[in-house]
Amino acid sequence: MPHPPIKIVVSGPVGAGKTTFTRTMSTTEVVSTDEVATERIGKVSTTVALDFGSLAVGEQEIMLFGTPGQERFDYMWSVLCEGATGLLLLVAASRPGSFLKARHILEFITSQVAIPYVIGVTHLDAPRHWEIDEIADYFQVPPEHLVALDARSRGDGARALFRLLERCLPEGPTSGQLTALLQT
Amino acid sequence: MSLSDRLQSILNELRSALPDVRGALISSADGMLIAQNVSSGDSNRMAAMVATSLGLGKRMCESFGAGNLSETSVSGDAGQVFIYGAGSKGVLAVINPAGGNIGLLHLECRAAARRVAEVLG
Repeated sequence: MPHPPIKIVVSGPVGAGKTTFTRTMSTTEVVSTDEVATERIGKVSTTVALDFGSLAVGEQEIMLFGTPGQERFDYMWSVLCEGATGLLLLVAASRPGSFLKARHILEFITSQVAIPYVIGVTHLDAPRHWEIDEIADYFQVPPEHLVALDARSRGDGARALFRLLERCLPEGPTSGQLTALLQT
Repeated sequence: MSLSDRLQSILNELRSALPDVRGALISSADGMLIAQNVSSGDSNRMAAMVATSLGLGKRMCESFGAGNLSETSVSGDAGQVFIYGAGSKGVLAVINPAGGNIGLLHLECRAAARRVAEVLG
């Protein structure tokens, strides 16, 4: 009897790396809904509905649902979080101006559904950035709820997903699953 | 006439041609409200929602080999929202009560969407 798929929501403010993460981790063709951005957000396109990708970890299928980042799309946060197992909230360490927005997204989602989350800290390679501990202080969460990741790296993404699965699954993921994640 | 005046007049003419329509708005493809003629509700929110719907519709067309999306609609038992692509940059949405002459509505709205596309360039 195969396990039902695990649904992971990838959220966070504009430019945190949600679409990049989903494209890095998915082993199936990613459905993206990016449109040309009319605001100055530091990139040319932005997600208006969702990104969808999936990967298999051994027998276990993981589905990734990326949300839009702007607050005007907050209804998509609710829509995509229905039935979700876990939330990966991405935050760019180089954009402290977006931390308040990230906190708003986290509070918006967790006030509607009790969902385990991990904060993935991206853009740590930028010349000016906040350190993980400082960001943990800002969010007032234990540092073990944060994980450093480069959204372009499969290894980093796998470790972030593993950390999230540790918080989501009662029995926790197996070491075999981590190996499988890293090998996908 | 400024760009927003021109878009506003397209919406005003559309409302005059279709008196039953409850509201019309134009948003950018990324969900920013550009012009509106809506009497009730949060038009900023509606602008984002119609962009979401059109964006998803575009990907569905691609996935099902249906070519470029021209329009999509959402129907409830008390009303309908018709959403038209206006070039690559814009979206025109019209809120209509249930029933009514949908043929006429499409005729007027498709023409208006083409004009919006020309204005947005």
